[in-house]
Amino acid sequence: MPPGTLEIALLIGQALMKYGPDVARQIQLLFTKTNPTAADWEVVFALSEKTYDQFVAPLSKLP
Amino acid sequence: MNKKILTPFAAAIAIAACLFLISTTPGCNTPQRTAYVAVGVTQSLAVGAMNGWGDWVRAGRATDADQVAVRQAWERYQGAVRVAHSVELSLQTSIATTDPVWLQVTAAVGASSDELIALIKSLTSTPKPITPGT
Repeated sequence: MPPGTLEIALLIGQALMKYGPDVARQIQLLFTKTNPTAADWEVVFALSEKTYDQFVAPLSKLP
Repeated sequence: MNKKILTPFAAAIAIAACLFLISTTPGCNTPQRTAYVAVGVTQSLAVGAMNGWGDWVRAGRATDADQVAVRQAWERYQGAVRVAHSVELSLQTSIATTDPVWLQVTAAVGASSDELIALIKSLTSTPKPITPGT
């Protein structure tokens, strides 16, 4: 087992319990990128492009 | 709801743990990767907190004042991320986790993320009556 694997698993497990599967999956994916490309960076920065109103919109209006 | 939100301290620990883990993983400790994971984890935690806040609002538990405060904190966070994005675009492959400009902008992102998460945590830790129709 590579060094740090257990700690990464624990971190992802903690994110899973505290934030749910979507956030845990996002964090897990970050660790799989050994050489992040410009496209990978764009995906990370795009996470916060959502407006406040989109976060609090009624479920029926969510895409 | 509260289980979806890390305390700022726990978030800081998580980010520090990420940096430590990346830096101690042989063959994977490029400055680009360290910066990428640090920003990515911060983004994921902030967006996770906002998703939880959305649930809280939809449940009718947020006051108008609460919503104004969180909206402003989110917009401050977005501003800090936009600055970090522009710096990342200018540095590209020369990005270094010891670069003073990069350190400054990522510190601003971390601080605004901590502020946002702490605010949401404080607003959701006190039970409020559900107001139907909100």
